[in-house]
Amino acid sequence: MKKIILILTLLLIVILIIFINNGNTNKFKLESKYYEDGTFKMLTSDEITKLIENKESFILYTYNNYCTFKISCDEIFTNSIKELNLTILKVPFDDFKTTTLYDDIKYAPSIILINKGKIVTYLDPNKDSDLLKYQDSKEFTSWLKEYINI
Amino acid sequence: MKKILSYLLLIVLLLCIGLNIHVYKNNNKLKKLSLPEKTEGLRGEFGIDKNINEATIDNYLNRSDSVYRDMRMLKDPGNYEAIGGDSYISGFVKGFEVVPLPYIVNIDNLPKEVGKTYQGSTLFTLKDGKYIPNYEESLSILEYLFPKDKYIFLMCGAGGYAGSTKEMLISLGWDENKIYNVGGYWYYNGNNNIEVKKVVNGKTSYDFWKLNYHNIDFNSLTKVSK
Repeated sequence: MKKIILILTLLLIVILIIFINNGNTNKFKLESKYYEDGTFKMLTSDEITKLIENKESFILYTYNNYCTFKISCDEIFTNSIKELNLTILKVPFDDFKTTTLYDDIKYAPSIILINKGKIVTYLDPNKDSDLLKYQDSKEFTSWLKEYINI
Repeated sequence: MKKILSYLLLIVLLLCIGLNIHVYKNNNKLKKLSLPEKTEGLRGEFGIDKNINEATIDNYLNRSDSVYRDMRMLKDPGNYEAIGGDSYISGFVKGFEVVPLPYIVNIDNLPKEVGKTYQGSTLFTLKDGKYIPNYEESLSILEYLFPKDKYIFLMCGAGGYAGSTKEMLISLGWDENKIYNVGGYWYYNGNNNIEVKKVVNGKTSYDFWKLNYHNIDFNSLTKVSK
């Protein structure tokens, strides 16, 4: 009986370790310079392209200039990055369209998480499942924490 | 033998004519439109359509049963440059005619940095959720610009002005099943793009002559007496 309990406990520990490891596989670290001031930093499309070519890890915000939503996602994102002391790079959608990222992301506003020059995930303004992340700082923060080592 | 050949030739000829008429009729038959359906997510807040939008509008252009309206101003007085934008219409989708929403109804929810858009006369005033006509002719102008017997396709920069227009028309009695918010020109990547903005030797200019623009001369209208 004791043996069975021991084996079951060991099995449970192994399953837990696998589960925890799997949970972390999506997480990545940004370049250290993006953990400093908790602000937005405006970049041009050329600068974004260079970062991708240099295989940097960063967060990018692309936005449209012409319409406002009932809840301002700018404010939601600002609250979160202040809380987490993260720097988010920012580019107008018109400029964004000239980068290679436009092949995958056709609509703004969007927050794009980039690890070593490659898109890990992004907020899609056409998806109900992402709506709260645009409208609630807590939701947005926990989404960031899901993917980024903070 | 000659007679039989002539008959056969005549039959083939008639068949060819019949086939041509059938093909011609089919080509001119308009495809039935799906009912308007709001897209998911944040863009759904503007009421942008799930099926007929920036990605698919090319398949719905040039319909004789429809009108196409772009709701932007040629130059918006709002300071869009303050947020990295452009106050001018830099391009549009072929077939869309410009009817600036700020001339139709008051707009007051722009970003802080942009400030205020056009603050002059408007056909209607939106107050407490109601659209109040400011001129005797307001409704008939609206009915002319947005014919009730046609399908109405609306666009703007990103879908907000188009969404507001759709809301207004429905509130004033238009059939919601005939109005589509196609979304924003900034997300359009199809084959019917007409560039208006031109940069030559570092100098920017705008070919507004390419646009079909509906002007409203408020001085010639009769104000509603209060």
